[in-house]
Amino acid sequence: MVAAALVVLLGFAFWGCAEGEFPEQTSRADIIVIDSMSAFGSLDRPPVVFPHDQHTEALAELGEDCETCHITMENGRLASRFMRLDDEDKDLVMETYHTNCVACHQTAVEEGRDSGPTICGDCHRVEPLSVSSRVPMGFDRSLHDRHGERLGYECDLCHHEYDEETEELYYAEGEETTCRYCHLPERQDDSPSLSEAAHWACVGCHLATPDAGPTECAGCHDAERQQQIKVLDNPKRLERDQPDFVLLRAGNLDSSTVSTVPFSHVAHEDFNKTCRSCHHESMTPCSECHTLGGSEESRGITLQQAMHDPGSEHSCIGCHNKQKDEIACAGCHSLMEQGRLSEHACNICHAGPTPDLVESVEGRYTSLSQFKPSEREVRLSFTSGDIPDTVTVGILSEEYEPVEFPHGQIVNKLMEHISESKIATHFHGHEDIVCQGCHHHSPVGTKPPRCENCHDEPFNESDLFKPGLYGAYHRQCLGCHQSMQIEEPAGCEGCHEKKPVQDAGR
Amino acid sequence: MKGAMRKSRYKTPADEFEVQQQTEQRMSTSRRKFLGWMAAAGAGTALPRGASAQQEHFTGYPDSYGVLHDTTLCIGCRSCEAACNEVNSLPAPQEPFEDLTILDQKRRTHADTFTVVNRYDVEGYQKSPVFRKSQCNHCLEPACASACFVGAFTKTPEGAVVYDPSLCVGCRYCIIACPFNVPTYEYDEALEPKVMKCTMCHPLISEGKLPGCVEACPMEALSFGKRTDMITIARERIRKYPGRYIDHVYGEHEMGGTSWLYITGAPFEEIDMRTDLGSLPAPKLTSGALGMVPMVIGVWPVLLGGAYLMNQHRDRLAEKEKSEAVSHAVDRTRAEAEDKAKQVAEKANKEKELAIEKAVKQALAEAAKESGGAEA
Repeated sequence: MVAAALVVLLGFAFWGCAEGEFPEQTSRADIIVIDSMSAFGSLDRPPVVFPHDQHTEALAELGEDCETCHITMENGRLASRFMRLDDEDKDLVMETYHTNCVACHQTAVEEGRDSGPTICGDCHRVEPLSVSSRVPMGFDRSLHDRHGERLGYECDLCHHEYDEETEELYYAEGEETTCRYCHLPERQDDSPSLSEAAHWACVGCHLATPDAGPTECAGCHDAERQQQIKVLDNPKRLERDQPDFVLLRAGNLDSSTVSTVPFSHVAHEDFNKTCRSCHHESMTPCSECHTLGGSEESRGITLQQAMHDPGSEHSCIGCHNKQKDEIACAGCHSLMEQGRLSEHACNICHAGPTPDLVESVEGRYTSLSQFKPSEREVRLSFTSGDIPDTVTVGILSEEYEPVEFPHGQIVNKLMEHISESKIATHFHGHEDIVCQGCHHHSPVGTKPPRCENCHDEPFNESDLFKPGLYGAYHRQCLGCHQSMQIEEPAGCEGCHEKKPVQDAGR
Repeated sequence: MKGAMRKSRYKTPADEFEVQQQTEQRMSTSRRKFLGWMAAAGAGTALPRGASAQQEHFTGYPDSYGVLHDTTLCIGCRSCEAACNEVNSLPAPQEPFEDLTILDQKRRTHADTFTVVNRYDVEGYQKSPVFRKSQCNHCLEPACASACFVGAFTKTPEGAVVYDPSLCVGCRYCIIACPFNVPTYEYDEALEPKVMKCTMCHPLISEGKLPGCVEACPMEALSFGKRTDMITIARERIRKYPGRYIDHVYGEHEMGGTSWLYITGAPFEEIDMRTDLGSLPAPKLTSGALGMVPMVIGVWPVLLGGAYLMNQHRDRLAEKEKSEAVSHAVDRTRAEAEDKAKQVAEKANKEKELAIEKAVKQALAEAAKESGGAEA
C-alpha cells in the first residue's frame, strides 16, 4: 500500500513537472496512441503516445526483432496487439503493458543503456512529447506496376477472395479488386481490418524479402518519405478484362430515349490513380447498384445522380468539376455557378447513338475511334479577323484613363490552355464556348452584346443578382486574374493610368 | 422624476416602430396614460418572463436599408476608406489612401476614421489573404442607444443609427456598450468633444444616394439596398458558390440583427469577427434590469408614501396616547393634590375649631374662676 501510494505521489510529482516544463513537441510518423483501455470505460490517465520506430531501432540494436513484442499466431502472422492476441480483460491488458514496458525499461536502466520511462507520468502525459504526423498510405498505379514487375506479375501473391463456405482464401483471376472492398477500417467477423491486412501483407513481405520496401512506420507514413517514392511515368495498365470503351446507357433500351454516352474507360484510367476513384465500393458496372430508380445497395442514389452529382468525387460531373479548380481553368470557371449543369453541355457527353440504335452499331464501337478526345480540335467557328486585338474600355473613365484591353492576347492564351488539356479540348473543342467565359449569358457570335447592354447602375431591386457595370468589369477582370494567379498588372494604375487632373467622383 | 425621464427618452426601435404605427394615439399620450402605462410596466415585471410583451423581437423597420460586405470579393484597395474620409469631411490621413502598406498592421475605427479595412492571413484558407472592412454595423436594436441615458442615438427607419451631439453628455457609455468596438471619442477636442462613428451616410441615403464607401467599391464587395434584399443576395451567393462561402450570413441574427451584413469564406473567428454574441439584441439583455425602472418609479412612491403615512399615523396615535396619558396623569395628580389640600384644609379647620373650642373652654374656665373668687 505504501509503495503504491508512493508511486502515485511520485507519478503526480513527475506529471506536474511535465506539465510545467512544456517541452517542445516533435512530430513523428510512427506514433501509436495506446488507448486500448478506453474499450473498458473512460481512461483514468492520459493515453500513452508510443514511438514505434524508436522501439524497433532499439530492439534491433540488441539483436531482437518483432517477436519480442508481438506474438506469432497459428497462421504464422504476427498479432498486431502488444504481447497479446486480443483485448479480453481490463486488468490483464493493463498488466501486459505495465509489467512488460516497465520491466524492459528497468533492465535498460540497470544495464546503463538509454531507456524509456519507468514512472507513470512519464508515459501517461497530458502534454505528450510527440504528436503524430502520420499520413495514410495508398497503393497507386505506379506502385502497383513496380510491385508487379518485381513479383513477376503473379497477382495471386497479394490478391485473393474469401470462400465463406470453406472459410479459405483463393485466387480468382480477372476478379482482382482493391483490398479495401473487404478489409474495412474496423475488423469484421470474417476479415481483418485494412490496417491489419496491409501491415501483414506489406510489412510481412518486406521483412521476408531482401532489398524490398520499407519495414518501418516512417517509410510509408511519413509525408516526406512518401514524396521520395519513385513514380513511374507510364505505369502499366491494370489488366482485369475491363473494356476499353463502353456505351453508357440509361437502363432499359426500350424505355430510354436519352442518347448513350461513349465512354473511354482506358482514357479515364490514365487520369486516375486508382480504380477506387470511380469504383468506390465494387468493381462492378455503376448501373448494377445505381439502378434507374436507385436500390438498397446504392442507398437510394439513382444512376442519374451517380453520374451527375456535382458534389460527389466519384461521379462524372463531380470529378470534372474538380478539374475546373486547376489554375488554367479557374479564370473562367471560378466565376461560374458551382455545380450547375449547362444544358448546352449535355450533348458533349451524350454524343452516342440513341439506345435503340446501339445494337446495330455496337460492333463498330469496339474502340474509341469516333469519340477519341484527341481527335477533337480546338477551333473557333469564326476567323481570327473577327476577333478584335484590343478593346478600349473607357465608359467609366472619369478618374482614370481608358483601359486598352488586350482582347486577342487573352483569347489566344485561353485557347492555348485548352489545347494543352485533354478534358478541356473535349469540352471546349466545338462551338465557341471559350468566348462565354467573359461573354456570358448571351448567344455566341462575332458580335456579342456589350457589357453595358446588360450591366448598368448597380443595386437594381428588380434584378438583385446582377452587378452594376463598374462592379462587373472589376469582378470579371480581377476575379479571373486572382483565380489564375496572374500578378501583373497590379494596382489600379496597372490597368488604367490616373488622369492628371483629378475629377470629382470615381 | 429623473428615472421617468430616462425611460421616456430611451427609444428602443420596438418603441419607435410602435410610434410609427400608432403615432396619433401615442402623440396624445397624457400624463395620466403615461402613469397608467408605468403601472402596467411595473406589473409586467412581476409576470413570468414569457408573458411579458417586452420580449417581442424587433426584426427591423420594413424597407430599411442594409449593406452586404462580401469579403471574398474585397481586394483591400482602401477606396472605401478614401470615400468615407471625403464624404464625412474627415481630416486627411498621414499616409495617402493609396498606401497599402498600412494593411500590414491591424487597425480599428477612430474619431477621424469611421471605417478601416484589415488584412487577415488565414492559415489553410485557399483564398488568403482576406480583407475585411469594419465600421458601425448599425444594429437593429443598438447597444449604444440602449446605454445612452440621454437618448443621443436613434435607429432611423432608413436603418442608420445616428448620433445627436447636442444631447450627448460625454459619458461614453455607448463606447463601452458597443459589442463591435466601433464608437470612438474625440479625445483631442478640448471643447465639446463628440462620439464619432459611421453614419451609414444617413444624409446621403435619405436623398436616395449610395453611402460613400459602397459607391466607391470597384468590386461591388459592398452591396446596398433593402436589408431583406441583401439577405436574399447573400443567400443566393452561398447557394451558387457553396465552396466559396461559409453558410452563414453574419449580422442576420447577431446581436438581434444588424443592418450591415457579411459573408465570407474564411472562418469568422479568423477575421476578428465575434462569434460569441448570440442572437439577442443588447437592449433585451438589459431589459430585465431596466424593466425594474418603471416598477421602482411606479411602486416606490406609493410604498414610501404609505410608509410615511403609516409612520405619521403611528406618530399621531402615539402623540394622542401620550397626551391622554399626560392629561390623565395631570388630572390624577391634580385630584390627589386637591384631596390632599382638602385634607389639609379639613385638618386645619379641625385644628382651628379645636383651638377655638379650647380657647372658648379656656376663656369660659377663666371667666368661671374670676366669678367664683368674687363670690368667695
